[in-house]
Amino acid sequence: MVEVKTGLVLRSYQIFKTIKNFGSYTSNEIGGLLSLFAKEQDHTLRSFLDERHDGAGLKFLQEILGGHIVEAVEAKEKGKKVVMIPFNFPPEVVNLFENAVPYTTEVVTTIGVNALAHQGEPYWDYAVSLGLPDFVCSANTIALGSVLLSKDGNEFSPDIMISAAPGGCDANSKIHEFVSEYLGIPEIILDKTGESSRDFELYRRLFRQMFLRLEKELGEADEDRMIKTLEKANEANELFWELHELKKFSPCPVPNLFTLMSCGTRFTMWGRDEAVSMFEKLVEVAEKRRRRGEYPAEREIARSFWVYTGYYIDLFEFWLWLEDNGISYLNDLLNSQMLRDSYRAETKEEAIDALAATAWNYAMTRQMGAENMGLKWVEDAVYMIRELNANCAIYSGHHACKQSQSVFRILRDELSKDGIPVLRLDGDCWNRRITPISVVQEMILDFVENIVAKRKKRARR
Amino acid sequence: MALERVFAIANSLENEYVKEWKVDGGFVVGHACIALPREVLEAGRVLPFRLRGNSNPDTSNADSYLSRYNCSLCRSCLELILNGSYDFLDGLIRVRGCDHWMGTFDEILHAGKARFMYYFKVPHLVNEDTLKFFAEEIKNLKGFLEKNFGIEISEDSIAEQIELQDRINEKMRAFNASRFKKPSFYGSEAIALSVVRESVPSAVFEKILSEVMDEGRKIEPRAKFVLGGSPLDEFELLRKIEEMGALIVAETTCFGCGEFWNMKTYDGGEIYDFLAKKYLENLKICARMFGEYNFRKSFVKQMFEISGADGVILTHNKFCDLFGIENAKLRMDLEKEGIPVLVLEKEYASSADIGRIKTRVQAFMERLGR
Repeated sequence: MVEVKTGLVLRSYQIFKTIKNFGSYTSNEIGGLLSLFAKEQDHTLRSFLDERHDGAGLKFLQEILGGHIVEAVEAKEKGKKVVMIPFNFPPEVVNLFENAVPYTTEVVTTIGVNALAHQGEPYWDYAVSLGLPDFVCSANTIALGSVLLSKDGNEFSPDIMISAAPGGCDANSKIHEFVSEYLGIPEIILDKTGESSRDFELYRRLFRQMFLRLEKELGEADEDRMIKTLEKANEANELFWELHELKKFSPCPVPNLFTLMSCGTRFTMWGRDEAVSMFEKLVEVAEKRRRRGEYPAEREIARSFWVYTGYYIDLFEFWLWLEDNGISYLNDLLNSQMLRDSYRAETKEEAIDALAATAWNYAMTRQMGAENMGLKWVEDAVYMIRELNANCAIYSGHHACKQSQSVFRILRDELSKDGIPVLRLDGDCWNRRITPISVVQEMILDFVENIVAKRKKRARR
Repeated sequence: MALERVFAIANSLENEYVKEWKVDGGFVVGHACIALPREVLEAGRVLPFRLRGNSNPDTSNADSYLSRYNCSLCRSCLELILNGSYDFLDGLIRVRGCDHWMGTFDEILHAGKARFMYYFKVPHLVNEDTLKFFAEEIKNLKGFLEKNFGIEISEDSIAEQIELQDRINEKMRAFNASRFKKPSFYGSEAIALSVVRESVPSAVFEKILSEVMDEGRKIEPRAKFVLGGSPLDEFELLRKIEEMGALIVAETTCFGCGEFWNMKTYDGGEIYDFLAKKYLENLKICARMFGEYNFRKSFVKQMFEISGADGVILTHNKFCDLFGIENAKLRMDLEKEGIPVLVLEKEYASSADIGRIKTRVQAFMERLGR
């Protein structure tokens, strides 16, 4: 066990302050720069700075992830409050307040796993050493384990927490509650009971109470700023779907890692200029690649849709490796965000209701908060698979996700009926100690070479 | 004699009273959570039968539906449903409990093993809005039962059932009080009794309970414990622990005192509002209710104090996020207040776990100087 002295955010903060100073370096300069880093960091930087991303990776590191971490740490000195949210909650709700910044638990975990030597392991170990069970979800436990260090002043601490997972994920809700109780941070809780209009009405009421509470803590929300925030969210949403359209081309011109960048942006900067600018860049790069017919491998063998999330334990050996082997990561369900509708609000009241509707339909809340999570998951997965003309589906089998684990059989049976081969992997998306990335690679290659590629050949005859 | 009958019922699924109930024209529905207001069902001669694993360790078929990362109690129950042990049920009511149960119910539907499945929504919060929602939900449940079974459920008959449940709860409190300072029953007996309550018509249970209360005897344990944590119907496991002298004198679990100890008694007013309050507020004993941690902590402390226990044993099945996390926090907080705590993680009905559990309980008693 690696000794924990400083929290994940405070350590990442220093790294991102450095990254923010990176310029447009040549390959040689980047090579020299990377030699200064630990292997984990080397792989992360190598992934984002790869030429195929044409500057989008660096922009993402500097403006999105870097912005998220730096703003959170510096919030207090700027007179702002930090609102901790889970990934299944729209950050625009926080971004619309002038005096607040969001801190998204799972994004922060992903940052820690990718930016730090020893990844998130010290914080996971710390949480488990306090008595938390080893089957909780690493996606939240790594960041929250680190936040627990703030009790002794070794980590930055949020001011308020929002729990949006009751009804969607027990593990997520419970670990947030634990931290709230342990550190005495006020927690505002939402609840999804089902899918009918009556369920939504309850959710809307709870959401409005949450908003009032936020206003009490953060100051009254300004109507103009709210509307502008929603307009910016709409602008980014249009670009999101533009990128989605580009994914339909074969070979896929949208680099695999753009899915991660898309998620990271959505879960932190939605409703802000940074999100619009980031998505403009993603679309621009993908469009350029489409025009040039660029694809890293000789040919696109597999067009994979990931029915859950991908792995974040080694970006270089996962996202880039897949693409280099002719396996396009078209999208995952986490990033699918079935939110096609734009915000339509002219008043503050309408804006709050529109935000409630978005939160209600956010990733995970929408599927796992359904009355039959298996069927809702299937419905959304099948929709995206057809949309993107995927020829296979892969489930990363994140072992802490008891909901998806419990209904995977339903998904597999239904996709099989549609002729979509499904690979079930077994591992932890944020903890490399469960299944090493080399094992994941081996299983994916076996699946693609023996199932997907052969099917494709048969289909061509 | 009454206790023998209790164990005979608790060790079976379709018991003689269920059979009689059906012969007399009653219906039986399965469910998995104490949030279901049994008064409404029994008022329409629909018997709520709580799903349990019946100490079945075999989950081989269920594992092909659920995963090994799911709660072994749920897998055990699913196995029993798949192999036909629950075929006597006329249908299922999916009460929104935890993620594992939600997935289990999805898989039951997928396997085509439910004649019907009604979704009974249970909020995770207790406040004015959720109570209003839950009262409507209870009315909707009544409407569904009437339509589905072609029956009529009058408010008068619900009121009669409320009265019956109040009487039973009162007796159950008295029964459990007799386990506290001068214990006259084993914890394994109390859990078996709780299982019986969830498996027979309430009128039958009331009689059984009265008879059981006459069978108390003086028990002199080595140490006394309060049992907390996730649902536990494994009275045989408790018996093995109690054979070592570690007597369970109270529980905060939902098979046990947690089921009724804090339940409100009817004192007039609108019946559905009362039931909503009675059941949703009582559910605060479960870790699936958010914003209620302090309630649960106080409940454990209360049971520890009134029972004169030496310590608290908190259990959860492997992969139970709700109680796995909750138990960690409870242990921290209770120990800070000088209450010794043992946290036991286990697999449901696994005989492989028994030796390990006995060793840990033995060590716990030694730590307490018992």
